[in-house]
Amino acid sequence: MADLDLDVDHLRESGRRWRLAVTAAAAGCVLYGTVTGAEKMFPAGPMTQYAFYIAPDGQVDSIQVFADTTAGTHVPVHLSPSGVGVKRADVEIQLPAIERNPSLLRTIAVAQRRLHPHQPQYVRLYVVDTVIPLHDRVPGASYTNVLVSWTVS
Amino acid sequence: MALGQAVARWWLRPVPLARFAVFRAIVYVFVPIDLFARLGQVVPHAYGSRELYDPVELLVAVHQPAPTPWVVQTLRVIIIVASLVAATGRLPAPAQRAVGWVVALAFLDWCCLAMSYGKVDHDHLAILVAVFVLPTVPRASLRDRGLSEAAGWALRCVEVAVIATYFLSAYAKVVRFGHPHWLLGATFAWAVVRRGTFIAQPLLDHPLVLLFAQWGLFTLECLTPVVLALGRRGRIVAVALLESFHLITEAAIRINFLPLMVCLLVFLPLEDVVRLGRWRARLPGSASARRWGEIRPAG
Repeated sequence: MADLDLDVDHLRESGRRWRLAVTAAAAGCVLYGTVTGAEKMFPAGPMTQYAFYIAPDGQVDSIQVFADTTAGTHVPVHLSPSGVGVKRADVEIQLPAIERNPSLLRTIAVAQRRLHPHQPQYVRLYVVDTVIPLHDRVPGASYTNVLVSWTVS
Repeated sequence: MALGQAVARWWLRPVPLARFAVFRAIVYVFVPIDLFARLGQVVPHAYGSRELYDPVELLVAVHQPAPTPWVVQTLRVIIIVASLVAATGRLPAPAQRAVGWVVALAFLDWCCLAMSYGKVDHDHLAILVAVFVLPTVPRASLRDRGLSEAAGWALRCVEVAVIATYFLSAYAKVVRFGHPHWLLGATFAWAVVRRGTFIAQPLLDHPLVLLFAQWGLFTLECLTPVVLALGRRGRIVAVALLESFHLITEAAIRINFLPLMVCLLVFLPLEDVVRLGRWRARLPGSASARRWGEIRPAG
């Protein structure tokens, strides 16, 4: 099926030059971000997906947020776009800041109130770390630590 | 000088305009889907308060504050409408270019907002490159039969961005962040413990399988630049392999790189979809032939 003709729409010299210049600049940004930049250089930052070392006898940390509610229950907070918007990974990345200033958790309570006004609201929030130790890459028995708690105000 | 000219020829090699038109339609149809599939947190983030807003450098540079709900709701409508209009490819060239820039800037802002609350995802480099290069070729139709250097440059940029996502990840693993002992670590076990499905969980009892899978991923990432040098069949096989990898990852640990999976299609001879449509329309007895009362020889 040779129904492509061989007519080529060539670029003018100016068109070639600016495209190659933009290419060089963009490539330079991405390479800089890869070699020395931080993730905040998005979208030119380093590609750090799973680029961290976990020792075979190390541990796995799994962060969750729980809440005491106005209904008197203790529930897990849905850390997702359909829940409170904040993702589990957001909490994990910002955990040092949250530990220094637990009031950063206010956004979770506010989002619950605005997005789910007919559900029980949060009165106290807990950031809980479930620790799973590894023994030669095989998970052992887990345990939990409450890292942060904060009363919604 | 000869090397520079060779590099320039490589970046500007002409491709069928029909291929560009198909890829353009795919990208512009996907962008609205991405607002919900991978970047759905932007609107609910705006309903929270501002405490966790930690903008990426681009947003800091333009002094963008934490958005309010009406700002992101409006932004979402703009992206959806502009993308779907751009997907038609039927606008006059100046309008096609203008609506393409609207999509590019609005979608970049949306992506930056999505990455400004802590977690930064790494599957959007190629799709962002795509939305920025697509407006540089405002005249491209499924009916075009010629080749274009402008389209070639645009698609080459997306190709390189796709490969960079994989290859630079390998660099980050063993050079910048993980160091060579990453290859002997338990990163995959970590991922399965945290997110593993019923498919992957049994592998925790077979740690060497996860270790070999880690080596397999690293090898795959290191080899991806080869795809740029492959011919037609090689590219089809490579795309099938990489798409399969992503499907397995989704099934095993519920992580998907959907924007990257869409951009992988740039390596395929997409113009064949159009050719197939034309060929079938010419078959004796086809609906098109019957409608017009013509019978034409096939091919």
